[in-house]
Amino acid sequence: MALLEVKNLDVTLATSRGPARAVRNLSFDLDRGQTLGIVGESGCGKSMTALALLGLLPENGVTTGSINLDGQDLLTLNEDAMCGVRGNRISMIFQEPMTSLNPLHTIGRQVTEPMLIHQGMTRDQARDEAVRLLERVGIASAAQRLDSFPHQLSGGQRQRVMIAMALSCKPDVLIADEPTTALDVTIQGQILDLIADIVAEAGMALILISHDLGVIAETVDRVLVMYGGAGVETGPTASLFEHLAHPYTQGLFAAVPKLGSGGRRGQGARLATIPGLVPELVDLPTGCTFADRCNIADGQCAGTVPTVHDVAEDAGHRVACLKPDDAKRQFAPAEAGR
Amino acid sequence: MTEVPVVNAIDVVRHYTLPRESLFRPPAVVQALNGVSFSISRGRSLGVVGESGCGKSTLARCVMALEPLDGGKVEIEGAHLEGLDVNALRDKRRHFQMVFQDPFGSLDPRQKVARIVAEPLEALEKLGKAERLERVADVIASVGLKPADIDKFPHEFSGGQRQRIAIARALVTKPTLIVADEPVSALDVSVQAQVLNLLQDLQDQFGVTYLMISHDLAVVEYVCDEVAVMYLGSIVEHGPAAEVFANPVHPYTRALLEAVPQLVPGRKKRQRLSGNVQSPIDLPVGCAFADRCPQVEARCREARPVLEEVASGHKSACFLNN
Repeated sequence: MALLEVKNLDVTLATSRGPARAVRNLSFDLDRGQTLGIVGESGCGKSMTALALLGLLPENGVTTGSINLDGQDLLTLNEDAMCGVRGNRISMIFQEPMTSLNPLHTIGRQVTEPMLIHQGMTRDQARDEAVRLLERVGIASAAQRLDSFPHQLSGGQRQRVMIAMALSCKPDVLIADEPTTALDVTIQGQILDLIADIVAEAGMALILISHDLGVIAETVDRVLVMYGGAGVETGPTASLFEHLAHPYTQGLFAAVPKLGSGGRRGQGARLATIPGLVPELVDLPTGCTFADRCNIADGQCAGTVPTVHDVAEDAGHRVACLKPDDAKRQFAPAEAGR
Repeated sequence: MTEVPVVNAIDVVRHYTLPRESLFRPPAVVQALNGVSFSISRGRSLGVVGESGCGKSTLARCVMALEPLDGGKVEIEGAHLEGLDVNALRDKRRHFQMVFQDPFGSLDPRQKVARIVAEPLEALEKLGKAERLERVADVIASVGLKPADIDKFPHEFSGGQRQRIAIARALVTKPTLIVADEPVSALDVSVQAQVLNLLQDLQDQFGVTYLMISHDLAVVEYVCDEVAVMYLGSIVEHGPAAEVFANPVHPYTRALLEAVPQLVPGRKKRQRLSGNVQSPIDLPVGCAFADRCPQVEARCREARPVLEEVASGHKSACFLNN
């Protein structure tokens, strides 16, 4: 049994325009030491999935399905029991290091808080542990930094503090939601290296959420591509990047500007685009959520929930598409041109 | 006679004085731009890249004459803007327009698209109502929006469409120069590609000149002919985009390119820059990059290197150029 098993997870948000299915029928599992990347554009449900795992959905959200952590279904836990899990066994690094630290409390207070609550440490023990953690995440003169306030740190340092907080109770599952989006590219590299090192060293499971295919490609073993709340393709990173099997994954990959394209007068000076817009969750089709933007979709796609096909069976590379052969065919010439 | 460049910036300096913290010490000064020079010829595009705090947005504001300069000058189509009175400057503004980063904050939520796009025309050109509507309709069509969209409010549009509206607003006065400050950084990848292609098409169609500010190197490589890499208020490397990205010379450019995650699976061990970008207050005497540079030498801390040509049109400011 895997450490974390998510089965048929559905998150529905009640909005003024009707129910929005933010996550639909999502299943994945994750073991200790494994890293999973969730990639997709805004509104694809990747952050909602993370919030559902932590039981932090907004009040208008309803979750069905199951989230098993070590065989215990988190969705059946009451709020008190969930508090014992959140920050303790599953913890999260949020996107905005500027806004997710409390500006009125010192770094020390914020890093020690989970240890005081979950692990029953004394103040002194927690403080010593906090110094060790801050040193581990690469903050210089950590002991003095405990008394600093968030505004006295740079963005990269704040994100390091967030990582130290998330690690403080040695969680089994670490969720990083766009951990580097707010950071400069040279700092992004440092933070991704740090997360990868810590995850490998502690043998925890990592869920990395990002819209950046490059970050995903370099950091995780397995990828889950989401679109319109549904998982459209999943597989080991190497296999997925080699055979982009879903039309959305193909489109997303083609739309990313790549370094070394030779400039605007060079080859490939035009980016491929996915026609249309990222749809709103309330008006998504009942079948394949990508149907209205897909170039190989036909009449049945919008109304039929796509079936899951194996792309590479042994590797666990699967795609949810009604026309996987057409998708494969259109990917082949693109590949020849690379 | 050589053609007059659309933008010619010579030794632009911009310092911000911070509030005085002590009676006995001079107030601290943020050295946002320390002598930046470049020029862009007609129909070309220059991309300015760098990390946060390197002065790239200040540069855009200086070119747009939204900031006074503390030194140097900016000429647009050969004309000085410094020292012009408000009315004369406003008269010039139709030639250079700006597209801002945040498509949610830069459009007035209470105005319809027609009014938003027509506003620069009302302010800058004396046109009849019919002619104004015609210009708005033309420009709306050229950025790929539907004619019916002009009667909608900004909240009815997605991020990419709003950025199209912002581009339409910039285009409506038929400017020669458009300054775009991070035009796609708030957009999703699939939508970003549409806007980048649109920017290229508009340049081909109307021959506009772009000054594009971005932190995303790949975006700049797609849209721009030339690229200038900035670090702490100075251009450290400048040249044709393809050339700079293929053969970076300055250690900072190399580190920046190295840090971009590639679309290739697997973790790469790479040399990372340590430390953070230094604060632009009290810059060191020598090279601003000396503290983070992997190849730093003693002379780097003593004097500041200047831009020198390393190949045709490709300049780098480093003592180790060769």
